[in-house]
Amino acid sequence: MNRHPAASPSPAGHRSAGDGATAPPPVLRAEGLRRRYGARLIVDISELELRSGEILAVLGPNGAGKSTLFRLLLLLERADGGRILYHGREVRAGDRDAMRRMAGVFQRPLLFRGTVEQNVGYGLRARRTSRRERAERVEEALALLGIDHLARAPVQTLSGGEAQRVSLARALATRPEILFLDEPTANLDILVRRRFREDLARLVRARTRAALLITHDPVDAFTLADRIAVIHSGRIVQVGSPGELIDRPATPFVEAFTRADLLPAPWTGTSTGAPPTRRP
Amino acid sequence: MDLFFDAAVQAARLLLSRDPYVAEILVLSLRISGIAVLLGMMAGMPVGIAVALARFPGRDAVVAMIHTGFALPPVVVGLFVYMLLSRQGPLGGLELVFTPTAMLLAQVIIAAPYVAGISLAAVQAVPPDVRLQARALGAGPARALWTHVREAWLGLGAAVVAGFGSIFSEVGAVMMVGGNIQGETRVLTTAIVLEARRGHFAIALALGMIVLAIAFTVNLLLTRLQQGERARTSGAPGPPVPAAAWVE
Repeated sequence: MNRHPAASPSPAGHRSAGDGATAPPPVLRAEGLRRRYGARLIVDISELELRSGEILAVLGPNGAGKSTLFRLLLLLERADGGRILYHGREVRAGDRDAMRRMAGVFQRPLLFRGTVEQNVGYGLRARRTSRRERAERVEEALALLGIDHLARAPVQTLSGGEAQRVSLARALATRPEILFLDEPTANLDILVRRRFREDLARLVRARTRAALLITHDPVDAFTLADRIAVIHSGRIVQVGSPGELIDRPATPFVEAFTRADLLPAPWTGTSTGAPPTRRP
Repeated sequence: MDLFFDAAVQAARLLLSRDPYVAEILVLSLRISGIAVLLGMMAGMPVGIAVALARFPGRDAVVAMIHTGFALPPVVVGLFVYMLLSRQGPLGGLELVFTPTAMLLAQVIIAAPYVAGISLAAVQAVPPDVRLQARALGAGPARALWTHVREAWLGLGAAVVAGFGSIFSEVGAVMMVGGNIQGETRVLTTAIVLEARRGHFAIALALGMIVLAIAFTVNLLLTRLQQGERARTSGAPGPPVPAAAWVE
């Protein structure tokens, strides 16, 4: 139902811009992006595109440079080299206009002191949205995530799953063009995680133009994303649809990360009775 | 034990009868220490917050200096202020020795490093990601910074309480620069010293009970706040500082 990418072996973006010479530039594009900490090169991305209408997952193990890439693309941190293009326009860290069209959901919910309502309205206050519109949009965002009843609750009374919903509602309330998600399900227990993932798939597609999902969890990547970029030691080793990654892994590393036993049901065939896609 | 019992009974009687002598000392103590902690907050808190947020060469030295301020013996501060204000001192012309203003000045110098040091720890204990999260929701740098500082408000409250504690129960500095003049510069702690020396244990004990009661009330207030605010999801627990470090 909400397993949009899983429904077909080569999913297309729900609002795909179409291809051909007239295709608009990608929403976001990184070229030669590099970031060092001391002598270590943490991020070294020759090319990465986020296209209109897609959910792109950046999949890789801990320490691969995912979170640094997340901060670079969100324009929160300056790169040491390369450039980032937003709709073809080069943007730098701190670019107010571009940043106002993006929103990020961090791994930890990082809710601010106050009530759920105040948190969800935070980005709108930063944009000086009128009080009336703010109230409407906060209400809408809370309803989208099914947490309207928590509006007045102080954030310290929330469970982990509720906090993560508030965090997502807070980002969606700003109506971002691009939504960035850093391990959004990592801190949730397994039951809450599945439901959250389903809501995430539905809302991200309905409410944003494009989304970039950072994750170490193949299940997140394969259930949510249209394309997956596998990152290893700061470099993108392969980008492709989930089907491509399974059928033609570029390196043993990618293959290890897309092993049948790691993947959710539609890819392993366990729910359909069919044999796993790769290697019976 | 009779001494203690009799003194305690008399002390209770003094407190209940709202003895004017005790009341006068209490009001003066609260006034001087209250104003001093406000001034110490105005001086110390911005410094603590700024040092917590900024990265600059020599930062470690500044932090060490603030922490040295913690260990500053009040009596040495008293000596310094006394010399400053004494007739031969650079500010001797102001004739401030043995006035409440001199006591205020000494107490501000004692309280400010407390407030600065604990504010610093409080703001530093907030995860830096809070600021990034704020920016990732469209906040500008100033708003994001304010959001970060706001997350530390319990610790900042603790800083003010600790600053108050550091001066309210202090005796060395106020004795030296205030002179313990009845009706002018006699505060709770200096009065306790005097009355004990005179053998007026009941009144000394009554005053001591007031100091304890005020210390307890202020700490209780802060503890209640902290217990009610245990941040589970904000990722910003209060800093590991005591509600107040009562020093002598």
